[in-house]
Amino acid sequence: MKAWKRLLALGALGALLTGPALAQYPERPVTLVIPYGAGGATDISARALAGPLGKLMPKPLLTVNRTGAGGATGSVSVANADPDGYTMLAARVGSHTVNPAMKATLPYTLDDFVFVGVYEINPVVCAVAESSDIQSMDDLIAKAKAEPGSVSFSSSGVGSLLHLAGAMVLNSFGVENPLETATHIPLKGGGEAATAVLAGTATFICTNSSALASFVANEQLRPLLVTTPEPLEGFDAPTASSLGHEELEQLVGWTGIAGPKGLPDEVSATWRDWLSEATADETFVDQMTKRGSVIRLMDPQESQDFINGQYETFRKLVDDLDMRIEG
Amino acid sequence: MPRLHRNIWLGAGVMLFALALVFAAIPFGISTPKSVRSLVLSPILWPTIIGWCLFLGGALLVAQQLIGRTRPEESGEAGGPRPDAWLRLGALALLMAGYYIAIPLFGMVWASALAFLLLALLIRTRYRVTSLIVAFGLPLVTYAFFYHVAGVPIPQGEFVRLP
Amino acid sequence: MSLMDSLALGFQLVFHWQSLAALFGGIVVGVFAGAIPGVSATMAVALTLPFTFSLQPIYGILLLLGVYKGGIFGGSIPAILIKTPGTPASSATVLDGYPLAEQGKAGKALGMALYASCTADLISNLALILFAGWLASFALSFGPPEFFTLILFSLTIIAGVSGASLLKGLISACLGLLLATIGLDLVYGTERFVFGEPDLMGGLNFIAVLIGLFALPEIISFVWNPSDGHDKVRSLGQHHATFEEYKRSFKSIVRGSLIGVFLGSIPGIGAAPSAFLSYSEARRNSPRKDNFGKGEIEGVAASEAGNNGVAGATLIPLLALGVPGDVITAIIIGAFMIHGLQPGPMMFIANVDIIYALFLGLLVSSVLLFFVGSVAIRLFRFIADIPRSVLFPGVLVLCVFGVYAVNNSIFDIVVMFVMGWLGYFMLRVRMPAAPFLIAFILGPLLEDNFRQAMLMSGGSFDILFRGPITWFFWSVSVLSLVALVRNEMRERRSRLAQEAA
Repeated sequence: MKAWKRLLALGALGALLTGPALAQYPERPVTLVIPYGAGGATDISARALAGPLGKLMPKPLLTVNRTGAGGATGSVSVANADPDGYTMLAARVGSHTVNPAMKATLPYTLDDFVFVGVYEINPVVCAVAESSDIQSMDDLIAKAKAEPGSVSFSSSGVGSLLHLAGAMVLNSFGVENPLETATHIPLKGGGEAATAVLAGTATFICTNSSALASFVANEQLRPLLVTTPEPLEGFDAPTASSLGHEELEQLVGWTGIAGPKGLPDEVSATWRDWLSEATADETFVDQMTKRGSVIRLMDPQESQDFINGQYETFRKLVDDLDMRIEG
Repeated sequence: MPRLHRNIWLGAGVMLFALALVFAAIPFGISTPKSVRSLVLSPILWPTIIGWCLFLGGALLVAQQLIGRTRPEESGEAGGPRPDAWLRLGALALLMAGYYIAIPLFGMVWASALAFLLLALLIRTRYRVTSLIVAFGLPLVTYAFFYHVAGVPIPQGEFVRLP
Repeated sequence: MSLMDSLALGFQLVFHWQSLAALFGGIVVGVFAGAIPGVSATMAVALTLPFTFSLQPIYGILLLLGVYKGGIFGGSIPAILIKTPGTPASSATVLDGYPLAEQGKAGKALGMALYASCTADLISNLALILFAGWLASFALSFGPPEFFTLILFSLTIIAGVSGASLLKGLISACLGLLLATIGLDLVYGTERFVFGEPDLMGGLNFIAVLIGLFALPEIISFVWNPSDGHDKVRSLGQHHATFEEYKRSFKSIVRGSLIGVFLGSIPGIGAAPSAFLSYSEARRNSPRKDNFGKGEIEGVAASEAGNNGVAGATLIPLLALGVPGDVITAIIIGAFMIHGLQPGPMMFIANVDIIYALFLGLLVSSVLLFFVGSVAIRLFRFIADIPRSVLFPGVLVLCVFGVYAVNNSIFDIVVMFVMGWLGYFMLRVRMPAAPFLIAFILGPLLEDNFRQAMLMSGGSFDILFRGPITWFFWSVSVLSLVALVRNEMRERRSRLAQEAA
C-alpha cells in the first residue's frame, strides 16, 4: 500500500515539475491529533493555532482529540500513521519528554517523530494555598526537611509534567530523596490537581502558569517560584535563577507540531512556512499571551535540540531519583 | 439427565471466571512495582477484592438455586432451541467482524452501507426498496455531518474517496 | 453597587436580540447534537467553542451554556426511542423510557422527559443564583476521604436498579468494576490488564461500553427473533404526558433536582451518577415500585430531573471558585479565559455585570429549552414509526459512526461490538446491565479516592473517618444497607406466606 502511495507521490511530483501545480501537498484535509482532552492546555493551544493555520492551508485542517494514557494513545496513533503529512500531532511536554523519560513500556520513542516546530513555551509556577503558612520556597523546603511526610504535591497523574516538576524542584532545592520525603498525590487532570491544593488535599503544586493564572489573580493560591529567566507578569514570585537555581529554567512546558518518522522534506518545509505565518497572527498571539504563554517559533533543528536537551535533563533526574516506571 | 437450572450454570461459570482472574489474569496482567510500600496502595489490591466478590456472588447464586429460595423470574425466551436462530446469531457475529475489517479497506461509509444491507437481509426485511435507499443514504448523510460539520475525519478507504 | 444595580446591568447585557439568539441557537444545536448517538453534550460544547472566539464574551458563554443544556436534554431522545443514550447522562432514562416506547407511549415518555428537564433546570439555576457562595465553600471541604464515602453510599443505588435478582445485580456490578480497572494504574503508572496493547492503555472508552451494553443487545435479540417486528409498528400514539402524571411525579422531580444540585456543585462527579441516584431514590419512595424498569413514567421524570439538575449547579464551583467540575465546564472555563475573564471570587467584583447577565440568561434558557424541546419531540417522533427491520440496521450504522467520532478510534468500535455480545449474554441470563454501568462509572472514582486518601494519611485508615461529612456518609450507607436487608426479608416472608397459602 505504501509503495503504491509513494508511486503516486512520485507521479504527483512529476506533474508538479512539468505542469501546473495540480497535486501539491496537501491534496486533501490534514488531520491534527490532539492527544489530550478538550479544554486542556494542549487542546486550547492547538485549536487556537488551528484558527490562523486553517486560513493558510489550501485544504481544511481537522483537529481531533484522541485522549488516553497521559497522551500516549494519541501519540502512538500518529507514530503508527503513514508519514504522508496528512496525520500530524500536537506534541506536548508530557507526551514527548516526561513520558519517554519515565515510562519504560511506552509504545513509542522520541525517534518515532519528526518535529516541524515548537511554537509555544509555558513557564512553570509553583504555588501553595493562600491560607497556608508557607510564604516562600525556603519555608516549604524547611518544612519538608523538618517533618518528612508532612509535605505533599499534587499532579495530573504519574508521568505528567506536574509529577516530575514537583520532584525536580524539591531535589534542586536540596531535598534528598524528594519522593520519600514528600508525598506525590496523583489526580485525574490538571484542573483537579490545582483544586486539590485549594482544598488542602496537597501542600503545593508546580504546573504551567496558565493553569494557575486565575487562582493567583483571585488570591486563592500563592505563587512561590517561577522558572522563567525574567519575572512573570501576574505572578508575584521570585525567579528560579534569582534564588540560585538556573537549572530549573529547563523546566518549562511547550507545545509543538510533529509528524511520524519519515515525513517528506517538502511537507516539513510547507509546515514550517505555515507555522511561521500562523504564529505571527495577532489574534492568536494575543489569545495565548493572555493565558500566560510565550509564543516563539523554533525551526525544526532548534526544536529537536530543545526537546532532546529537556529529555536528557529529565532522564537523568528520573535515573537519579529512581522514578522510572518499569511495569 | 435432570436439567440443571440456568442459574446454577451461571453461578458456576462466574466462580470459575473469578478463580481464573485471581490466580491467572491478575498475576499475569498486572505488574506490581518494587517500590510499593504498603498493601493498601498496591495496584493488585482492588482487582483482587473484586475477584473474590465475584467468586462469592457466583457461589451464593448456586446456593440460592439449590436451596430453592429464589424469586420467580419471568420466563425465558419462548420456545425451545431453534437452530436457525443460532445460525443467524453466528452470521451476525461474522457480519460485525467483517464490518470492522471492511472499514479501513473500503472506508466507513461504504462498509456501513454494506453492513446495513447484509443485516437487513439477515432479518429478512419486507421493506426492500426503503432498505436499499437508507443503506446508502444514511451513511452518506452521517458522513457529511461528521466530516463537514463536526470536523471528524471519518476513515476513507482505498477505492472511492468522498469529498 | 447594590443588587438592583447589578441586576439592571445584567438586564442590559442579556435582553439584546444577540444574546437571546446565542442562547436559542445554542439550545437548538445542543438538542439536535445530543440526539445523535455518540455526539455527547461534551463533544457538542467542544465543537462550538471555536465559534465563540470571535463573539463578545457574554454571547459566547451563553451560546456554550445553551449547547450544554440542550445537549443534556437531547440525549434523552434516542435513549427513549432507540435505547441508545445520546449522552452518558441519559443512561438512566433508558431504564423506563425505552419500555414506554415499546408500549407505544414514546410521546408520553418524551413529554415527561422535557417537563422534568425544564423543571430541574429551573431549580438548578435558582440554586446557583441563591446559594452559589455557600455551596462552593462546602464543595471545597470535599477531599479524597469525603469523596470515598460519598461514592460508597452512591454504590448502594445498585440495589435499586438490580431488578428481580439482587445477587445477579451485584455480579453485574463486579464485572463493571473489573472492566474499569483496565488501563494505567493511578498511583504507580503501571499497566493493568493491558497485555501490551497500546489501545488498552487509556482504559475502555465509556461511550463505547455504554452504547455496546444498551443498544447492541436489542439488535442482537431482534436477529435472534426477527418475526415480532415486521408488522407491529410502534407509534407515538395519542399518548401525551398529562398534568396529572406530572403532578404525581413532581416530588420525584424536585428530589432529583436537589440531588443534581448537590452532586453538581461538588467537582468531579458528573450527571450520570446523579441521574441513577435520583432514579433509585424515586423507586424506593414510590408506591408503584414494582412497575419501575417496566415503563414507569415517574422513572423517566426522576432520571431526567437528576441529570438536568446538575447542569446549573456545575457552574457553582466554576463561577465561585474557578474550579471546573467536569469536562464540559473545563471547556467553558477555557472560553472565559480566552476572553480574558478569570472565573473565581474576583469575578463577582470585577465583572459583576457578566455574572448577573449569566444568571438571567440561565433563567431564560429553561424557558427556551421548553419550546425548543417541544418542537424537537415533534420532529423526532417519526423515528418511533420506522419499522424495526429498517430501524435496527440504521441504529447499528449510527452507533459505529458515533462511537468512532468520540475518540477517533477504530478500536472503540471493537470494544462496542464485544460489549454488545456481553450485554446480550447478560440479557439472556437475566442479569441487569444498569449495575454494570454504574459500577463502571463509580468504581474508578472509589478506588482512586481510596488510594489518594491512603497517600495523604500514609496508610492509616483513620483519615476515612475525619470530619462530619465522612461520618454522615458512613451512617447513611449503613442505614440504606439495613433498609435493603429488611426489605429483602419482608419480601421473602410475604412470598413464603403466599406459597403456603
